[in-house]
Amino acid sequence: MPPGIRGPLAYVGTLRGALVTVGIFASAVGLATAAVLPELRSLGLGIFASGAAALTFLAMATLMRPYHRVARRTQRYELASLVSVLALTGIVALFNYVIVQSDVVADLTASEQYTLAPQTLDTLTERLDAPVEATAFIVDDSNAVTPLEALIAERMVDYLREFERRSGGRFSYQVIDPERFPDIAYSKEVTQWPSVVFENANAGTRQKVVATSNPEQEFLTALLVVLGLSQKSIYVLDGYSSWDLTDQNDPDAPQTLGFALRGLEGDSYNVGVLNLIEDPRIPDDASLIIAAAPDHELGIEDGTALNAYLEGGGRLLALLQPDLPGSWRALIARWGIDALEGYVIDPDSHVAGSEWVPLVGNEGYASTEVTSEASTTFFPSLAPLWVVRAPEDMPTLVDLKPIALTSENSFASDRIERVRRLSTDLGGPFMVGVIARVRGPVDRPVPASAPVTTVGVFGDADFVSNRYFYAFSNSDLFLNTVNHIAGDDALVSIRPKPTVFREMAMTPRELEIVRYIGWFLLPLLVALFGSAVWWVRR
Amino acid sequence: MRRVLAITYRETQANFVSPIAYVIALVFVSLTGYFFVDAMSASAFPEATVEPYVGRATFILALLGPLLTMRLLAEERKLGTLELLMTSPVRDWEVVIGKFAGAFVVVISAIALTSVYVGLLFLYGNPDPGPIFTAYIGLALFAGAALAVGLFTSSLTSNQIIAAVLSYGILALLSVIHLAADHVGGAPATLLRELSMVVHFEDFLRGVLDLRHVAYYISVVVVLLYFTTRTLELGRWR
Repeated sequence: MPPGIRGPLAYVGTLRGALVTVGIFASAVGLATAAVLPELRSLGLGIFASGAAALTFLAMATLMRPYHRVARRTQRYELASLVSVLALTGIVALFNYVIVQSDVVADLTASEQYTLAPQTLDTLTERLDAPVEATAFIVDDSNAVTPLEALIAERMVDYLREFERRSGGRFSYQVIDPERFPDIAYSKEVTQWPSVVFENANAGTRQKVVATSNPEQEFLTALLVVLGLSQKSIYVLDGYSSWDLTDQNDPDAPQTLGFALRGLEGDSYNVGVLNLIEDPRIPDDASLIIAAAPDHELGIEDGTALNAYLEGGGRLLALLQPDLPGSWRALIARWGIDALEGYVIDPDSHVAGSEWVPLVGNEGYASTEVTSEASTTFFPSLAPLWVVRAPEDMPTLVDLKPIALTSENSFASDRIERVRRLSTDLGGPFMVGVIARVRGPVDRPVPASAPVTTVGVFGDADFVSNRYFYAFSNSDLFLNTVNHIAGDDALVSIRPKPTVFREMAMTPRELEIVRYIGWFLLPLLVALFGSAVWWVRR
Repeated sequence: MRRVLAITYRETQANFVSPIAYVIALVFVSLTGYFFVDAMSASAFPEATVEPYVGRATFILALLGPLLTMRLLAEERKLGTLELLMTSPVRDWEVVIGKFAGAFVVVISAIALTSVYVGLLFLYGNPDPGPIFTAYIGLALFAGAALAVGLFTSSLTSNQIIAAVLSYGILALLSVIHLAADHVGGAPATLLRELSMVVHFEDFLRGVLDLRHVAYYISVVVVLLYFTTRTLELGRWR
């Protein structure tokens, strides 16, 4: 054994020996914890870092002992300084590494703008089983884009950064200026920007997202698509209504479902149109059938197909209007919901001056799953809904959830313009919308093993027309209801967070005051105060 | 701790009875005021946010910080008062922390003056308080890091100009180092981004309080103050 170095037993019972033991023990336990228990990785690394730091200090001190005997005092001090500086730097680096792993973040924006939804986090942490790369095509030159485009691009990059941070290294992104590198944009078939291309190199899949105001939802959809996870399909029935299903441009169109269908596509669904009159077969991949504003009777073959689909555990969302054809009324009655005659007039809660447009606020909602994110909604020309019989008299009923109710003083009027209640009018409250889960039709006994059918009904379709879809929380209520009925746990709905533009409202005079304070008053006060102090001290 | 507070008090007092603190504050509020008013005048309905002037205030702090710190130790060394200080019954780290805290008080006072702009935002608009809070937290941390860099370079030389230029060099490097990340990729790119003072500031402006950014700035302060202390101690043995 070299002179000056003692045997291990000599350290037993000393502080140095205790520190070595604790250091080795902490390092081993920390490493084992980090390796075996991923959820305690940060803690494990922290323990390991502490142990390693203690051992480093002791090792340095031990190594320097012989040196102390031979070197000059200044040299010893320089070496000691160097060692301590390196040790501290190492400890700080380790500390930062542990902090980076801990991922403690607080989003203090009012709308939690940068907090990913649990569904997104679940996908990024649990379901991202292959590396996915994204390329964002964003023009660098701020003069070449409008302020709105710049804002959208900024938000898209914010979300890409958040996706990368939360993915545990399995998702990465780069930002490319398509005007500087048009060849890259061309190679990825990008012709408009800002846009983002998601690619799964292993599977060779690619999905493009063009400028979006809801990056989280659309990025998540793109991610799921390139990972090869299927999208659910929703079919909208055609041929029973005079409503237009295609127009996605006219924001004032009253009897158009274009915006609502675009909303469904934004919620990760494949949306198709189904005409049962021409071909009475319902595709096997149908997760939900939507019947919007039906005003034509169901035929025999198509009606049979629709009933068979429902009896087999299908899902239907019916957006009704007053004066509903009898075959449709009979169809939903089989599942426990009664569409009553007339229009709902609500003297207590309605859009100003229009008693025939019931307004539903927080107190009117009944189902928290569907209405948790909805604030105010309204329903022009609402048909009153109720149940065909008491729930206890429907043995096949699994559950029945009203979505919203009109007020106590509402009533069903035979004419839309009549706002005074007659003694013959049926009194409210009525259900604005309802979701029933039934194990077979309520009008006949069925075996307990029968599949569960889900039928959602709204007494109004206008609230999802282009004209009203983005008014108040109408779109949220509709999309949440679809998500709920579709039983969607693979592909999810994430409502876009409200982007509030917090603007200053200043008159020209007030702007002058701001200018005066910012440019003159504040600097002048500081200068005056400083001058006064200097004068006194002088 | 009592001695640290005493040095802090003495340094703060020295700054505020001399023109230094006021010149720093004047330049800071003038420039931030210009950026604030400029943003408010940019459109008919400007956004009620502190981002236009807080974002640029980091640049102003990187300019003013070294001017404030360059004299702290370099001047003492040049005048020969550092030896006096070193032989007084205070520890080296107490001197370093006291001087750092004295400079920090000046900068925080200058930053606090800009709360007038926050008041105007609330008076004429409806700003989101979260990002304002985080932006000011970030600004204070950035200021601390800039001052720590300045104090460290001040401990290396007796020439104030050299100390300031060295500070500018280090701060400039730490401000642009992330730009090199685009050219290297992989782990080195991550490391370069993690070293950047600018990258770590971005989340504060957005309203996100991320512990790793806080840890980064605190680490810069701790490491550089420790370096400064060791430099002073080494000087004692030479």
